[in-house]
Amino acid sequence: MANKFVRWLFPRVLKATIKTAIVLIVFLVVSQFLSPLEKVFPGAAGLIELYFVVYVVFIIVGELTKGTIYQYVLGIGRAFFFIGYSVYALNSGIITATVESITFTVNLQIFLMMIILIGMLDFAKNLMHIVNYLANKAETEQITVVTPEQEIPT
Amino acid sequence: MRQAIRALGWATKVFWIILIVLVITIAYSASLINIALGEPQTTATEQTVTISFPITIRNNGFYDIVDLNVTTFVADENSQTLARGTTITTLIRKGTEETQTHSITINITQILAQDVNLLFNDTTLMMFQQVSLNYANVVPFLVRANQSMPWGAPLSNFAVGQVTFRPYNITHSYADVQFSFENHNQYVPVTGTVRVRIYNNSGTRIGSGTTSIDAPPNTPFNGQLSILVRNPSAPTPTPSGEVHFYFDTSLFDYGPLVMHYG
Repeated sequence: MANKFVRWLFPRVLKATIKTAIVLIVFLVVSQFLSPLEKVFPGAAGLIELYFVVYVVFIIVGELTKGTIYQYVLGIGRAFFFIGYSVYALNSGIITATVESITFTVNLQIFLMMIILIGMLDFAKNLMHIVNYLANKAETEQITVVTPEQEIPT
Repeated sequence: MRQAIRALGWATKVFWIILIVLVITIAYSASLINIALGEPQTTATEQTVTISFPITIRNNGFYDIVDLNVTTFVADENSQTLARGTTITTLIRKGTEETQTHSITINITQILAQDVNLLFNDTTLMMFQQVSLNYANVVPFLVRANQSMPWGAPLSNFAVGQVTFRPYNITHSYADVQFSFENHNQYVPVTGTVRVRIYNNSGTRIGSGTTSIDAPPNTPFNGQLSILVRNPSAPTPTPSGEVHFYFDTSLFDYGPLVMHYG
């Protein structure tokens, strides 16, 4: 029993570790640019760090819940986090930065709309996965319960 | 169900690709735009100061620049707009270059009419610049900058000296009025005439006269005016009273400026 659990857990932990390592490498590269970015957009570095932390949590939990209904529930949570984070990080699409006495304002609402659309598609996909998962499960249980009763006596 | 899920998966991927391609190409394309500001030229006439500079935009990017609007306005310390200049370019196609001359004309006469304090007090005016454009018809972009601009008062430190009376003959005497000011304005001269009226301490006019003034930019001016007062008919001069100045210059008409003497 314990052996089976370890055999189930080990590849998932390994996968999660590899993915986390890759994300950390990406973060280390990105973090090189955080301090100059922080001068122009105060608070941006914290937001990016938060994104990486949450992303790593989603990777680990996603790997551990793979093959279960929780994988898709997590997917829905990830979609909503992605939408909320984007709206907050992009300041509802209007980004303003001030360098000395010069103020730059850029309207990224089109991009934000696309990000929200992607998040909603992800949400819908995960929702359909849940419905599909439950339908498959119900079908399997039905087959399991019904088949022995319908067995023709010999 | 599976096909619907697959379709949603593909749609998500396609939107991701579109988003990433759009962000990368717009960011890279925007970095290929060259904007060059020419040397500002200041042209001063008797009533106006025009500041103009050429803006050259070379759009080497992949997308068009639409609705480029360059606006400059000058405001006083109370944020009241004194002058405004706008240059609009509707379209700069990719791979083309556009040069526009942006100019702002400051009508000194109008400014002085709006705010009399600017005649006598040096101050700092604010010049606000704003550039807005729509890049690739997708990304509206706005840059705002402001800088201070010193304003030199044309009648700075205006002062009147003691009015002295000296007899000319039995019937007349002279009232000598000395006045001075500094034209701190760096662009425009103060050229014209000053009408002076002298009142005694009971408020009765005892004489008047006119003199010309000419103060080039950044120069002081000392004026003296001798007004002939007819003794028998004139009201009695008193050691104190008021002098009223009326300025008729090419820049502005202003008066009375009431100064006390004695």
